[in-house]
Amino acid sequence: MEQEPLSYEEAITRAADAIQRFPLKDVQGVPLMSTIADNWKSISEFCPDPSDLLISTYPKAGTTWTQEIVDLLLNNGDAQVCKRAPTAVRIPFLEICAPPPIPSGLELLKQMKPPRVIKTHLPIQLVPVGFWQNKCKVIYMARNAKDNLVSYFHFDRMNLTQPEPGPWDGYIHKFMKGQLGWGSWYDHVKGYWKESKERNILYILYEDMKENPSREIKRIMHYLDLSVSEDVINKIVQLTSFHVMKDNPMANYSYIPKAVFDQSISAFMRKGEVGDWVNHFTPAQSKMFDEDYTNQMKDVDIPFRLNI
Amino acid sequence: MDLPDISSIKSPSRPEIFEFAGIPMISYFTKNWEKLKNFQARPDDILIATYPKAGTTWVSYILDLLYFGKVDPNGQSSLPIYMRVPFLESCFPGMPSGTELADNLPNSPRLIKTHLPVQLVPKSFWEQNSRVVYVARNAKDNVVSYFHSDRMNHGQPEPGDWNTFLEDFLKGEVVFGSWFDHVCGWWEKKKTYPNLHYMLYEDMAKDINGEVESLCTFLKLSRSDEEKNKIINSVQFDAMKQNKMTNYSTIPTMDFKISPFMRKGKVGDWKNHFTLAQNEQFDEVYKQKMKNTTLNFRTKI
Repeated sequence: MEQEPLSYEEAITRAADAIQRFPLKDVQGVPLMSTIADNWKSISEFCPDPSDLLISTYPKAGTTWTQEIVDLLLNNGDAQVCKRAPTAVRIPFLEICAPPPIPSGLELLKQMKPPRVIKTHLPIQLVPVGFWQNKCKVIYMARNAKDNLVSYFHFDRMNLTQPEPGPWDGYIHKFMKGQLGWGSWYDHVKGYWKESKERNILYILYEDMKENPSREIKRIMHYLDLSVSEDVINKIVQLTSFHVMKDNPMANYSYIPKAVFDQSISAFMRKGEVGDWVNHFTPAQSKMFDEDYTNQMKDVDIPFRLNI
Repeated sequence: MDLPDISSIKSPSRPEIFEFAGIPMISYFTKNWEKLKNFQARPDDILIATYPKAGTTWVSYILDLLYFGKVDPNGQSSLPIYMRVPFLESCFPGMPSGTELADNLPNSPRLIKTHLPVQLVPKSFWEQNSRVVYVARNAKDNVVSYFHSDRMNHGQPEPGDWNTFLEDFLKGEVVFGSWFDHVCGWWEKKKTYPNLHYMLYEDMAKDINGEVESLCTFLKLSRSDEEKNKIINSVQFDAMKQNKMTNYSTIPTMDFKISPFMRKGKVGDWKNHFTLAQNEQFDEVYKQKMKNTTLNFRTKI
């Protein structure tokens, strides 16, 4: 008889022995995890249905937050429905490949019927062309560089499949040079910004969501041609607040075994604040970073805020 | 005098901090307390007083060269500075105590170093009207330097991580106590004790010529420009860092792989260590603790 299919959690537990800090490999100029790079052909050929929705972010820019908001909007704020499975199962991570028996993003997507919600960290030039050809909707969430960098640093400390981050000072330099997984933050946020009108991408800022979640959730609602009541909006705001999500086992990745996500080093949902960078950057680092930022961002006017 | 054989000293476990005479202390500085308390100062002694890591070795070496650079030129190249300028309260295993080294110094005037806060200095220094040179360093650079020093010096308590050490420093829970009490205590002493010359590390870093001149005036020393220039060249940070007689490389309890004894010596290096949040919090505490003093420091030059 056929074996009972493994739950996502069980699959990860079984694969724990094969987990290592995977090196990065270059894919069209962008450093990606070797497991992703090794399966690049399949990923790049993925063909979405026109009804599919893509949620894209640079790593640690509010991905899970956006995923939970979208899922709740699509299910009229029903918290129970949105706890039907871990985030990564409800909204597969397009390009992610992990040791068997963990299902890859593509394998999870194959088992789902459209319309599907799909997550990616790919920069715009690496997104499978099917998303554009089929005119799929794309929501992009971006976060100010300094807080994004701090969050990514702590994530790399605890995610034992990512390359070793090394010391904080060196990590800042890697970020500025675009040497982290999924490449340059600058190229990433600028790439989507410049194409957002042409390709009907909804571009959201983490700081705006933090400051006025109700307004931003409505922007997403309208973009998705949905209509939910004010009560439901308020409910979604509450259900996706940092503290509620942090305690939500379907959103906080607590089911991932310690061999993969060592949350004793740093929680997956650590602080979720705007402005935490002041607890990490020295004045010297901040000044150096600002100079690099000014230079790299001079061709765009994305209104990031470092505090609200 | 013969150098004690210190090469065979094993690194002891780090000492525990405890309260003694009102300040946090370690046993290396209290074991010899009776002899310390009864130490007989002389009128021509020069006591070099600083909070730890505020430029002690720098000013010690300047004074050593001013007094003995010509008289005893071989001394500077054969005896480490910590033998030439004894650490008064020290009593490290396998080494003569600071008071013993001082009592046996052949030179006059005796140059003696201390990190004691003003209220714990042996009273004979005041009774004999001995000369005192105090050097203070801005709090931010001082705490950074103290942190790195404690990381590499097993003769000090374990500093913990930077965040912890910074909090301890602000609370005055580090060896020799509060930086605020220390620098302000000596500053107040200056008002009633004319034989105290109070120097700022940042002034030395900015204008070493001017500060050496002031020092000579205070000490009533007459030195030619040529001599002073030679001294100033010898006490440049890089020269001292390379000099085995001033860089403490002969001390076995110091792990120079972790940090050199003379690390950077710069004004403003704190900007590479304090986060912006720590800086803001530090400034708040500083403002409160320093509100009653006219003492003024620069954190950059």
